[in-house]
Amino acid sequence: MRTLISPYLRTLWNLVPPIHVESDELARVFISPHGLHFPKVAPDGLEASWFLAASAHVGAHLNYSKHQFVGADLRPVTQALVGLLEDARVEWLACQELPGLRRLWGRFFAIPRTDVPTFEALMQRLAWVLLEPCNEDPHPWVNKGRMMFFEHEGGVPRLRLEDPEEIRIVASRLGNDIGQMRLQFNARQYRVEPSYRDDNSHLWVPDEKKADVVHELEASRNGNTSGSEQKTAASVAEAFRYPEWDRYISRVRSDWVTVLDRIPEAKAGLAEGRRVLAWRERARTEQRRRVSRQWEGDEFDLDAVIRAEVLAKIGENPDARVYQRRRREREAEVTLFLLDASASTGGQVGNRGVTGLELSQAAVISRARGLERLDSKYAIHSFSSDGRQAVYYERLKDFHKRMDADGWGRLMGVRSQWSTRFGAAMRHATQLVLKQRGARRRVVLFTDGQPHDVDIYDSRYLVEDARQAVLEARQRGVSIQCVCVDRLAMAGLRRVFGAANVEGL
Amino acid sequence: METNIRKAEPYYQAIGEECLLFEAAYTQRLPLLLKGPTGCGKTRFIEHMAWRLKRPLVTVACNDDTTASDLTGRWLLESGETRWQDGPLTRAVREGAICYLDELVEARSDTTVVIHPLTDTRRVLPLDKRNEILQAHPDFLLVASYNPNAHKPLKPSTRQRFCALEFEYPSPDIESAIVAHESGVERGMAERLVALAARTRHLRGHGLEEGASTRMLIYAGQLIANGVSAQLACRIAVAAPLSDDPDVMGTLVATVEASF
Repeated sequence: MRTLISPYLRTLWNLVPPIHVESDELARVFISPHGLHFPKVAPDGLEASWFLAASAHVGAHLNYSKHQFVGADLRPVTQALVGLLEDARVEWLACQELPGLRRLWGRFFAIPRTDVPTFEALMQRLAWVLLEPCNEDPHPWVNKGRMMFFEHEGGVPRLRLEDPEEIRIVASRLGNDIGQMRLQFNARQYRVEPSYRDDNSHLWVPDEKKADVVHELEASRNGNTSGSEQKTAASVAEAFRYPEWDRYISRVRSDWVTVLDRIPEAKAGLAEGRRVLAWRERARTEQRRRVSRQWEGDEFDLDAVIRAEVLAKIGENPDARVYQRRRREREAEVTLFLLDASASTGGQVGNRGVTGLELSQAAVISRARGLERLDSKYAIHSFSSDGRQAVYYERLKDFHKRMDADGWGRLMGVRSQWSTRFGAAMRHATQLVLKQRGARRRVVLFTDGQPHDVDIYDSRYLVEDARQAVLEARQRGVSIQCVCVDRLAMAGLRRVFGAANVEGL
Repeated sequence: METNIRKAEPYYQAIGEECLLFEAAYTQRLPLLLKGPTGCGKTRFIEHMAWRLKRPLVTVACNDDTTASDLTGRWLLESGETRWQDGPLTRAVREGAICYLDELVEARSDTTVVIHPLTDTRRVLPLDKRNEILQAHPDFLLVASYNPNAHKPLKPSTRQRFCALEFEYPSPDIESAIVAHESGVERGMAERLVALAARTRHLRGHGLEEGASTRMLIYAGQLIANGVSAQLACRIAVAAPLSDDPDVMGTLVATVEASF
């Protein structure tokens, strides 16, 4: 859902707030100093447009709700009404800019029932007429609310409530009427309706205001993306099961390792910020080939001209394809760069003053640039493992995506942690690269050394599994190469990948 | 390729002093590079300037199959004889036209080498296949366009031979006026379209290489002026052409729906 919410807020108002998907069931979306909090699934089986409605609503708050109310001396009924009026106000302002939002939000209003005289029902009916002034409601209280909210100029409704203080006054007057109607209000069970609206807790000054809470949201308002570390949300991990070669039984253990595949969050501000080492890319030169007997071309194909002349002289129909042209031949190649992001890559390599991961990143960047120049398809993924149940596999840049700011943010945001289970990661990478179309497919692994994982005590076990994974990939037509950032580890890697397929940096 | 001297003035709304600068560069016959995102009015600008200066305009749209011979010319075989056929660039150099190489960077690298001698004091076009060095007509001017957001960069040895005029999408006011004029929609609708384009431009670098261009808005406006609903028009003229990625498409369609 993040892939929907985050770009939607960006297009609507250039907002880039941190977005958190909560695993617990959320009654309502909420805004905290740390960002926006959404549930994993829409309530009551509502479809994706619920997420659009919810994100447009909180976006409207971020854009137009600049005031925090003091709630201590207000009755719960008044507080609920302040929330309702503020919701209506920000939605009205948003609809002035983006009229289509009224249609989007309108879908989530239940048709108001006029026979149930509860406070909650009246609230919903008021919200309904405030969203769309053409909506009619017979109830005098609802109409009073509407009259206080809008003023009419030549038949066109205009917003009357501009000021937070006015909102508070109107809310308390409407609240008094509710009291006089003897309608009950259960503040504990109250939920803001319709369900796409957030709980409005952010409208109130917190009881104990903590000064040290960094207001991440402030920085995210109106596209203030530079400087602070903005994040583009991560996707939820998908689990894949892969076999593993067990050298003790000389057999493959099927469905043995779990690879958790996801797109990580992108951290902005990191993009190319770290040291990038110059690293020469041995870009494959294009092959130039002469193509003869063409209808059109740069030069005559002398043989064809002579043949055509001869045919013309003897009275036969000459072949008019008398040109030749040079064509650049480019094999459609698909490359997957796979970064080892285990804890060991966080250490310095030799005396070069950089970590293994930084070397890998620099090497990947320069190779990716080379491929971009050739317009060749590539992806950048990383992995680290924590036992056979959790091989974390992160897709930093996918084949079909351009390397944009998010891609750079993801690549530069990789952290060194956990262990190195080569085999599973390579099997998953092989699987992914095989789904791509191309004449040649290859996986290039960037690592600092030997495979290792916390649940394996035999140093040869994972090495032999990795060898097995390389062999399986080759059998399926995927070439696997290894770039080693630490020269000391090269000998070991040659045994896994074959001497010709390992190069040092 | 086309050559013409326009009789009617091609509509162009100046954003800054680009017209004066172009005239100054033309007086000195300095080659010009028009830099800017796609669909921001580069081609229309050159058409307008050719009309203003009363020079014929030869336009070549370069693509990755455009070779040097496509610009300079080639030998043809005709009834047992070979005959030389001038390419569009050669013709412009001979006749003293303005030659406009649209998206020069897309052409193969050998084409950029061909134009080098034309862009310095020599002002010559070597036709090696004909064994001829063609001196440019005094009125000849070379203009190339280039989109800096595209992936291919222009080589320094080429770019340093040009003066460059930078183009950006115009300010919302001017852009609305252009959309209203070109498509025939009312000013209010044009402003809506321009606001939508500004929103899509937020996605630049975050899923989109470029946001919606002025040209796209004009297309959408033309559809609207023909009775298509604004939502549908923007869907087919803005959202769908911008991206193939389903996530990005979903966002764009939702934004279009929110806008109207």
